Amino acid sequence: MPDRRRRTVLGRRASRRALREAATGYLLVLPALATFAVFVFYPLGRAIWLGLYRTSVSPNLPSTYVGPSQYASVVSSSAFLGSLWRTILFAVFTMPAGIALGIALAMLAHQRLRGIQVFRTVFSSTVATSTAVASVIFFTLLDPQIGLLSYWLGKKGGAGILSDPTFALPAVSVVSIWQNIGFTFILMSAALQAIPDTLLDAARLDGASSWHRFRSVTLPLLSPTVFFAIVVGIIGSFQAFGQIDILTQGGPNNHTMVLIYYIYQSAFVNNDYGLAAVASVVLFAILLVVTLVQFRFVERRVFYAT
Amino acid sequence: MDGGDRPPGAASAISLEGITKSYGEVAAVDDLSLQIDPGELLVLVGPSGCGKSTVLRLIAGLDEPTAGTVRIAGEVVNGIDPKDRDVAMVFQSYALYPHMTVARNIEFPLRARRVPKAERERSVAGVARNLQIDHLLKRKPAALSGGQRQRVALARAIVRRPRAFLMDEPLSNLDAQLRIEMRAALVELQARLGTTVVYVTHDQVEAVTMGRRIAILDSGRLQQVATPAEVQARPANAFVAAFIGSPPMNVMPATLEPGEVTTGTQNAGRHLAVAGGVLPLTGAQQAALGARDLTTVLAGIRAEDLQVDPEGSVRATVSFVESFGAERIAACRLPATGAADGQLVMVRISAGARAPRTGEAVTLGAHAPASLFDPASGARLDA
Repeated sequence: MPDRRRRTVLGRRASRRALREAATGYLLVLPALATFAVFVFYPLGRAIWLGLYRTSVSPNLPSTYVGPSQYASVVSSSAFLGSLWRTILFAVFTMPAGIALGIALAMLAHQRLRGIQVFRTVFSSTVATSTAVASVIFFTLLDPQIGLLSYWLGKKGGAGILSDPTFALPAVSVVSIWQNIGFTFILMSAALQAIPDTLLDAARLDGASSWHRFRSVTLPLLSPTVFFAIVVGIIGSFQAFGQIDILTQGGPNNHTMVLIYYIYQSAFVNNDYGLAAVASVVLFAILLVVTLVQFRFVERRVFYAT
Repeated sequence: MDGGDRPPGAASAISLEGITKSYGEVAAVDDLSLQIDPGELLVLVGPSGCGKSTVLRLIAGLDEPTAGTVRIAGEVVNGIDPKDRDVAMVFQSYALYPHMTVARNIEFPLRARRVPKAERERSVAGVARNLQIDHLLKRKPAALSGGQRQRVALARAIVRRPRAFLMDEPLSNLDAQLRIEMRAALVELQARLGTTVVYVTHDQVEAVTMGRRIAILDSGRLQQVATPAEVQARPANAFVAAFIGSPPMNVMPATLEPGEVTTGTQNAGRHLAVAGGVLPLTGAQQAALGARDLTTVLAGIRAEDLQVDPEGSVRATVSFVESFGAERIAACRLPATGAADGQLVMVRISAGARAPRTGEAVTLGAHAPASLFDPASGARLDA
């Protein structure tokens, strides 16, 4: 009997200690949790809530509750679907090309050559360039009257590339690729440096051509970094705003109206907060699903050295 | 320095002729000539940074020499791509492809050479059975022990039956026990395959036990190429004397005694004065010294050629006695000659003899002639 009492006392003591440890743990994550709550969870909940109300045409009249029907109507609208499609196109234009270029430049700069540091600095320099600066540079380069790129591309005079429905989105994509190349280059360079030279020496002796070495040794060992770049790149291209705002404002005729710019126009130009909230929530849902799918399926093909 | 006693030519499996590899001002390999016979296991040994791995990379074609000629099976391979030299290399880090299974790793050189699938599978299975790793074929390298990785690396080298294996410290990442086992396994495997092997190591014990001939390298220069026994008995210079052997040869400064001395059991004759006493000289040594008009030399004598002997000619104090199983080594300190402490000299205690106590004053006798080296160049005087 006393034995059992002792055991329960011990048990109570242990559980009290566990409780105290848990409390300390929660206390430690509290600052992060609070920050997230204020800046992420609350706005998210608020956006979902806003999406249930139709903003009235006149700014003086109150919004009316319409429930989930607004979600259905916005998601099926051609304006929303059009902007989603252009966002997907934008991601397709920017991401594979951006990552391929990043790897190519990193491979070039990985050579042991005199003065290669100069190239490393040049290749990574766009990291230090803001979107606004990059956009203004390209805006000038693409100017139909004075732009060097317009001149080279034979598009001198007329309305200009950025006003051409066919070329506006590709042009904005090129600017985004250029702007992001520094980041991708640094990522890929770091990953390349982590690959032991002896592996590539071994592959050379084993008789692999340079392409074979790249395909069957370098690329698989880069795959975790490529995967990371894809996830970050998709999220980035779904959130691209600055270059579009500066270069085209969604034009010509909505040809560069990507989802985030559509949300911005709905909310801050047309003052339709309800519509903007719905589109934001859907954008969030899309990014969540895309990321989950990537982690679930793409990661299987990724090799992590342990 | 000459690489061997045969002329360079087509008879060698690998032949290096006057190889130099410079990085800027620094010569990693300096005018090296070396012939390696077909089917030979030659060990290239030297302290770290002596250029031995560079020699391997030059043979493999991973680096090109600044000067000199590399021949494989008589054919000049300078400028020829590594894949066309038909040599395989085993790296210290094993360099297994971490994202491929063991089977894919072993198969890689065959795939790269577009060997048909059926033949690939047959070869991989055969080599895996040979090296007893057939149960590991589906695993990734991360799931293998060091010894298993070592075997996979060997299998990958063997599978395409190259003209030569280049092994760069392949055992140095293994624990001591496994290293000894793998050493024997490698020697046995080499004998069975009959393939030429150039084996690089910094471990002189490994070199002496594995190589039929060993080549000693220091600061990019070849010091000596000979059988282990020859290297131990007649080191070509003071560096080799101090590098090879456990314990290494005792090398001490000595001066030629002006007159003849009679010491204990030794015959009267000219002697070398060392700290604490004298060492006898042979007639040939006296002639060699006389011819060069030298009065100061470096005298080298192995622990097994010294003994604690009441009749001995060198006074010393026992510092400590080390016991390695059956063998005992006494470290004896010679009397101090200047401000510094006296030199420590290793002496093997013969099997039946009483081990001296620490602090005991003893006399040491030499029962074999010392090796004499030029004090300036370190070169052997009676070569």
